[in-house]
Amino acid sequence: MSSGDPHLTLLINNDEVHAVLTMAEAMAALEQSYRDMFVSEAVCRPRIDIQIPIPDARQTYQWGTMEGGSTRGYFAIRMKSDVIVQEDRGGIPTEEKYCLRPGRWCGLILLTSIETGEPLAILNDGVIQHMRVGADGGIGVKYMARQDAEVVGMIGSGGMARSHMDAIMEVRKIRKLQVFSPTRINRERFAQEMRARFGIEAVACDAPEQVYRGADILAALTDATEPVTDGELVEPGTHVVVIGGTGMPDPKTAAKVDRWLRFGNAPQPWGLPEFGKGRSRITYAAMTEEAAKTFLSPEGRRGGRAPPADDRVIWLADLVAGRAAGRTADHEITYSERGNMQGAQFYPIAGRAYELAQAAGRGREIPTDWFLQDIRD
Amino acid sequence: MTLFINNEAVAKVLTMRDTIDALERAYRQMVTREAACRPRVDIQIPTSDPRKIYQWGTMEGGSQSGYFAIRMKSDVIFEQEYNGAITQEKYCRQPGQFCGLILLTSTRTGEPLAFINDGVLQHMRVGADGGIGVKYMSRTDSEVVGMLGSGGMARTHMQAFMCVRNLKRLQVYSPTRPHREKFADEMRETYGIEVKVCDHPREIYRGADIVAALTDSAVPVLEGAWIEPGTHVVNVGGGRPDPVTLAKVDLYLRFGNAPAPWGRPEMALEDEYVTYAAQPAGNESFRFKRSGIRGHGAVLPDRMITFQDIVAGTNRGRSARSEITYSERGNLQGAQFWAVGALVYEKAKAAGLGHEIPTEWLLQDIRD
Repeated sequence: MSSGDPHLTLLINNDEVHAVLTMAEAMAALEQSYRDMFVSEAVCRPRIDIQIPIPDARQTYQWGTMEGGSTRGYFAIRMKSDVIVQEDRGGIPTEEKYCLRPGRWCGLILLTSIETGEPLAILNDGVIQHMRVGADGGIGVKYMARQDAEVVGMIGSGGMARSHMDAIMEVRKIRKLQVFSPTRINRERFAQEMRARFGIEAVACDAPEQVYRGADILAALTDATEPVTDGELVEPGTHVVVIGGTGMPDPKTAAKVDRWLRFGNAPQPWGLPEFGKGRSRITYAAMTEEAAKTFLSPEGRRGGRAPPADDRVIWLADLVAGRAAGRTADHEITYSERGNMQGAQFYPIAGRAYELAQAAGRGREIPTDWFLQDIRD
Repeated sequence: MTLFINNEAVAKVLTMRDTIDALERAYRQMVTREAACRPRVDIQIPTSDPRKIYQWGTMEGGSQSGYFAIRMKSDVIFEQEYNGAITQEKYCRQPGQFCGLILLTSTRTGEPLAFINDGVLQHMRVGADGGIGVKYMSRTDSEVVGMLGSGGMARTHMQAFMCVRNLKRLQVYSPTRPHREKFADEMRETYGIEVKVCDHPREIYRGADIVAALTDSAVPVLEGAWIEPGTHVVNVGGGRPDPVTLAKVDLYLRFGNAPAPWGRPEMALEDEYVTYAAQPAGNESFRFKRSGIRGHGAVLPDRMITFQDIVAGTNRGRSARSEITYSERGNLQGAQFWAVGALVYEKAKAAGLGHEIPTEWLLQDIRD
């Protein structure tokens, strides 16, 4: 139990984050962070991964970090440490991961105070990870979907589907959900859960094409490695969100998008204007280019994504400042994505979760002195 | 269990000989691409006190031998003027405390193995680099060390030099007399060598085979005019070697550079660090010395060799007694912490040192 002692660093687990943090708070914290990024009150850098082969040729160690902070008081680094397993399931390449043993993963957020430098908390990132991605979906819907959007078409029924429904319900009066996922029992359970949670009509669809009909918002939330959206079926007026896999809609959907909202990019480092602008990921690998053909995970090879290079793209900074319009007509097809500002997501949400957990007396304490020392470098 | 290993425990288990060997292996693995690291990345954010900035800095890397580590520094920094010289000061939580942590993981399982305070290890790894430079570049019969500085870095450099050369004599200068005298007594006692306490920096250069500047001065402290033929030069701290010294250097060993990111050759960097900063408009008058500036890269590209040359045998270092040589690490900091951290972890674990927390606290059953 947290005693509120300022000389203790809190360890906060997923159950505790779930108990104290609401989607509304996470979304507010994120929007504030993005606005702070636009005026340089906050800063982040692109995600950096390190990949290292291990003796089992199907497995690669993958370390990944994102970080950032703001003048409002918090800084955070998110660190992922997992073994990636490349498997071939009947001709379909999939990527599994684990830490220590299957069913366990390591994702940690270290939160610090920018006023004193001290480590305030270490949080497991599982709940925050789903919330921050769902919250981004909700922010996209808030700015780009039709005001009267009431039908959500969804592909996927896992953790990301849940957090997206939470976020979308915050910003639109949704009446109906149409959901498809490959396993019948999963989609039916999800539909039932959403009916009970939000009191909306929820239909479990037997074929993916059924989710598109009459949908005002289309959300593809899967971990498929290939695009799962079908541009043929996207109807005029739809707002589209895509998570997982390539993180991009299929080419046909992309071509139909009239307005493409990108929240923003990490700033450039000092004196290096050409450094990584707009890319979402940088991977350093402990292997030769030849060995990379075997060991480097497909995720590492993709190296990030850029928005289309044309005038359909609008930036959240311009939108909130009134310099650009979002959706300009009901029939427009719109799309939203974060850009490579992941590093700006963890300090605001973890900071808020820390405040709430501390106030509620939750978390395990370890002495902050363990992290400090009297030797200067 | 995940271990918290403090400086006292590190000091108990870590020897300079092992540190030098571990770092050399790491640098060779960087050459063969069995290991990877990335350049240091800093984040700077102004605090509510207009004279102070929060600075977060990380270095990271790992190798196929089974370990990965990130070193994280989290401090408030500010500049202070002392006798006309500007120094950079720092603290975490309160003056006299600092936050520097190494998180060591297993590349075989992904699990977090240990958090290690970096204070002792930090001095050891920098000293070991000085020793590696001396091993490859100084004359094999080097006997006399001239030293500027008498602090923690001076101690670890002497340890490292003693590991690789049969030294007979130390000539040391630092501005505060009691400091240099105390250091001299300690070195006499520890190594049984002759030590001359110098009252003027000029004196440390005479007859020195190795000259080492180990201060936290922000400006160059070496005096190139006094450097004699045949000397090997080591320089640690904010001030780089002065232009006269650099002009006299015949051969420069830079251990190496962090590799380019995968598929992004255009992002290969030899900069010492990359800085991302929050720079609110209202704070424009607030400028630290190095604000807005890139970290430096290779200082003498025209006279440079690297570990690649040493491993491949294309250039093995000093080729004449009269050459003046200089060595520095390059931006391979990220390759140091897994190498030395793993050593510390294995020995501390075997010795039953450190505080334990359940590793389960750092794992979860939710996949991203």
